[in-house]
Amino acid sequence: MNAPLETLLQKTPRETLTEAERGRMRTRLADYAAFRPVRAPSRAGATRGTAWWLPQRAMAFATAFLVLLVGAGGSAYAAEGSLPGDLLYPIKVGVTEPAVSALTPRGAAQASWQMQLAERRITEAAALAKEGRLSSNAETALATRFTRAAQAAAADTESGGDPVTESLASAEFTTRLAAYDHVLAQSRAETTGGIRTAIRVAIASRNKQAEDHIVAVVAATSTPEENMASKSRARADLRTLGQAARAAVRHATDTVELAGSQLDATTSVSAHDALSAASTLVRQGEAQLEAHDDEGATKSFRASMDAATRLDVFTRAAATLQINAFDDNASSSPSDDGSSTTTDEVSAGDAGAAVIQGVIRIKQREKNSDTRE
Amino acid sequence: MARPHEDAYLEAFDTYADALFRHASSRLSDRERARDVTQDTFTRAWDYLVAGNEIRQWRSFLYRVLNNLIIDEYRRKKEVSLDALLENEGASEALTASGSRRESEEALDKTFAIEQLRMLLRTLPEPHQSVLVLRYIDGLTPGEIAGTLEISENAVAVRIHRATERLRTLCKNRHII
Repeated sequence: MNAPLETLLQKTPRETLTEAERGRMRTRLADYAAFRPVRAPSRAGATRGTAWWLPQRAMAFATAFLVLLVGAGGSAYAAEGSLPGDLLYPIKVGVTEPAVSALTPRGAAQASWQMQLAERRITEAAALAKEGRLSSNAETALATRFTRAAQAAAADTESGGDPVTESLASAEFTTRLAAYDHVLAQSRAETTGGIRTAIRVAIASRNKQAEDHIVAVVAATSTPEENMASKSRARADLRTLGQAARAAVRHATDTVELAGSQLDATTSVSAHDALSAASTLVRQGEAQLEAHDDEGATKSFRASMDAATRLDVFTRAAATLQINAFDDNASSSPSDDGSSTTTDEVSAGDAGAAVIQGVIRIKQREKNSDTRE
Repeated sequence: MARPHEDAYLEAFDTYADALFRHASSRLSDRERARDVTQDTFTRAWDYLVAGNEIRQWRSFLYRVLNNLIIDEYRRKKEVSLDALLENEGASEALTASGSRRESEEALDKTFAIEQLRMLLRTLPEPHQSVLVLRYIDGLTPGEIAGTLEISENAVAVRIHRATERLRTLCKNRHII
């Protein structure tokens, strides 16, 4: 090997973050920043700055002029935290968000972004409702925007990538929507009917999509050869599910830690109980996987993902909206079908249940096939 | 409400996350740890801002934090020595056992050599390792490395030279080059 050392060094393989890893990391860091805001420096002693000699009125004009000079970029930053009815809200939904949409690649990254947009509309509705500012018009507009984002997310979820990853992302989104529905119900606001209806429609649509997907998977494993291949695939898919469950619990742990001091004592206890339940379910799933109890492991991992996802949403709602969505059901163990949803608002686990049912149906086909052999 | 800190922070993430992850994964054998260390770098940066400090040069700052986290990681895990690494790696057995001349002649061996080189790189002392990764994998200029490591450009040049010679010796001993 005569290549110079420097050349070889330059040719060493470079690991890169996947779009999904990058997106998740960015979201976590944005959350981290939101939970621990940088406090503005004290203005005391700053009155003798560089423009202290300007009369107060002139200072006001100068400030306004600077704001105008900063233009769209500065306005976009300022608009990020705005709500419908605020002066800068049209910039947020008409400039900033479409720009991000345009710059985000199609597929998983775009689906993730559209899901974030859908969740933004819900939290905006919740925030307005809590402040008593959710007018009928505002709610209709939010519901429309929510539906548009949810549909775009659904379209990009089915982008031809890994079907298991897509199914899990879809199921997680459905669980988050149901959790937000629960948050809205707990907000005690009377004017969130429209947005909640939109959420239910989106969940029903997602469940149908998940069921269709499972039917397609089962149909594709109809021949003995394909059935044999599906056995090894199912095992690999189960490991993917386990990884997703562990990631969901880690994410929820981060959220609870970050929310920290912003949670009251009751909420904090509920959050930690729910976290403990989700962690227990992951461990249970790992033990079942080890013991080749694939159905049991599937249920445990799904239930863990659901519990962690709801915990994440509830903790955010508690920290940012001061809505306590935790109740006795929030940290309960899953029911027999693996769905741990117990609220009467809307089913949170249907898409997840569809994934489980799909695995179970494939397993049943395998058993039948084995019996025939 | 304006959020200049958040914006600068996320912009820094968009700009440097990939480079930092690449750097971390070149120095840590575990991809997941490299990802965690990259994320920790950014959370430390935010903590620094929350504490009332200001970050003027994001790249230098982030590389410094990342470097410190990687050093902590080494200390914590007491990264295996070169000998242990070579003993434990199945691939290296073939390398040390054969050391064959054929390796220098076949294209496939280039990939093998690069993998071995990466392994040897991780066995270098931390200052040598970081300077080589910054120079040849991250593609920073000596001036940029000087700013990142807060040493003079001259010191960077000396360190790169010594690190390269050290790595070259290791490679020659194992017939990689």
